[in-house]
Amino acid sequence: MQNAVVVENLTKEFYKGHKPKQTFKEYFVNPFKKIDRKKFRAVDDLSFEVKKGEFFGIIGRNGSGKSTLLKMLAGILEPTSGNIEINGKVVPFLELGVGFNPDLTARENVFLNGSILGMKREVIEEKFDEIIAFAEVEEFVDTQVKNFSSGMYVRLAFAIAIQAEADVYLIDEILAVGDLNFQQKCFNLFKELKKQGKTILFVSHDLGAVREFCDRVMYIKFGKKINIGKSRTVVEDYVVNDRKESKETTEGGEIEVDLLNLDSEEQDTIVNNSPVKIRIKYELKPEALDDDLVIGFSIWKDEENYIFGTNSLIEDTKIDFKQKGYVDFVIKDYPFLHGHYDFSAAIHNKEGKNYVWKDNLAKLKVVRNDKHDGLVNMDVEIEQKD
Amino acid sequence: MKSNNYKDLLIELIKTNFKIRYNNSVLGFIWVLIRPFATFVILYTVWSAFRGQDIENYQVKLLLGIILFTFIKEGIIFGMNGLLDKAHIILKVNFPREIAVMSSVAMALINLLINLLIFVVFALFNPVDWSLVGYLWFFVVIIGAILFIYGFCLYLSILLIRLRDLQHIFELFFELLFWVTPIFYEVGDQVGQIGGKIGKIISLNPVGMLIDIARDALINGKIATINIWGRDIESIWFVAVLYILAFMIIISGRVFFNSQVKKVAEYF
Repeated sequence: MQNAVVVENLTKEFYKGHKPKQTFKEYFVNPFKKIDRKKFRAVDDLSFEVKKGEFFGIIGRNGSGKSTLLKMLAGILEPTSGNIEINGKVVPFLELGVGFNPDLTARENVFLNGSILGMKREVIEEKFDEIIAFAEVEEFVDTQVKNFSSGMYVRLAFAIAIQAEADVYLIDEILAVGDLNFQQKCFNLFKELKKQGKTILFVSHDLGAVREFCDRVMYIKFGKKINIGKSRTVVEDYVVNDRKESKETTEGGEIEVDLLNLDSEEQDTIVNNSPVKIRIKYELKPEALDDDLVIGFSIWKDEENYIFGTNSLIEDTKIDFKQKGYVDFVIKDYPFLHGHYDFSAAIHNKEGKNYVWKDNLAKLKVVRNDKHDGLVNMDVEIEQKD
Repeated sequence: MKSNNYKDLLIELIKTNFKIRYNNSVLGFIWVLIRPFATFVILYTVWSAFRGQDIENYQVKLLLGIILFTFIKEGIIFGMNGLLDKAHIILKVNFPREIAVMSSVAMALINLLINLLIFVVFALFNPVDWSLVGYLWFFVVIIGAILFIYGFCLYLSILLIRLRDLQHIFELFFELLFWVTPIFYEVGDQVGQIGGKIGKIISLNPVGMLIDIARDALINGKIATINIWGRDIESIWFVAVLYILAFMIIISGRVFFNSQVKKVAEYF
């Protein structure tokens, strides 16, 4: 099949730390002063291909170079080196909205943006009602868009972008602000576009959506390609990788978690809503002890889903930290249903600087006699009227 | 994209410029008229007390001079800001960036046409020698000027993004230029009254020549000669040079603009 997008050895460098010089003063005040201009690579030697008609996902953490990549594909940023080849017309949809002018009304912005995207005036006129209806802003056609909610703003921008007939759509994080109803509408539309043989490059943190809609996914980290392939495999790889390097650190000491019952005996399996005592054992370096510390834990289901977290600050308890010691957190009845639960623990200061953070410190298995389904247990009674 | 779409985009951008500039003001675009007119009233009142009366057609000359100077100033200032003003769009969508500059320069031209309406009203009460040749010649000069300004702004709009000082430099430049341009005095005064070398140097001011030629064409209905250091030169030569320079600067400006416009995207 024909390729819609071919990217070869694409690299983009930015200067780090210093705002580029923009006034005479900065150019001339000290021309001999060598400014320390460290370069940093937002996108680093990236090569990939997207086939025509493919729904291609790009995932990675914030700052991994996803948006820079899309901006280069859209022709807004110039690559430092490397090649981009795109077959067909591109319509970008970047960073929450096309370039709307806040002082113009929705109507005026539709015409402005439509023509920026290369639509003829007659075409925009013809599709105007459809655009407004898709965006669900019928009542606010003559309102300045600066008074729009972020959801309305994005809906309108998206509605215009999809009307500009293109072969390749670049979509960056649009679903973050839309409500469920709109998201569903977008996905129906994506399916429709795909049927028409359009190519879609899709950046999102919504891994569920990526897994569901993308044919292939690329996972990038620090601008480098880590993995590319079937969406399920790549998303899983990302989840595991991303968790592993989440915030784990041991620079300020060591930490361990024991799961105990109320008699302080170790347990790794509980039946029904039993009590659990979470004992966090720590060892702190002197520099950590000088700070105002908070200790806490989080619970994860199947290593992937964050379901609960608390700490001594949230519980409003002052902990007297020693060089070595432990703190017990007691959960009177553990409400989660059958499954495996992982515990992370951390010690940080009130500003969020982590001294110790470790994941997967302990595993708890829950078995239940009842057959309640889902995540959390609730007591249910059935009432019947005669 | 076909050229037809460019046209639609250009029209939309010009409309947007107008709406943004005058949207939230009570008098709206009447401000276009008020500014040169107010300058005219002040200068006329003050200056005619000194010597204005002995210049033939002083009122219309002064008004037209102010209008033309405003046109050149706005052309360059608007055009220079053409890219920066549209940063919010430029950073989101890829479209031919030249159109952003073009639409801003076009604003100055539209303001000029509006201002010429007051001039026409004025001219009804003041005897003016209309002629078709003069009328056409006026527009030949104006088109040459706008082409030159456009080419110049292809450079300036890019440079402004890297060097924000240009904004202040040009504002100061035009403030000073106003005083060394024969707008409220006669061309001869530059050499005559001011005299000496300085007078000779400032009489070379091309903006002054351009305004003088355009003014002669519209008020006296003739293709006048301009006087450079005592030698009469047909204004047709000035205009020919203007056109040649305009095309040169547009051609080289487009090469410069298109090679730089994506590189400056990260400096907005």
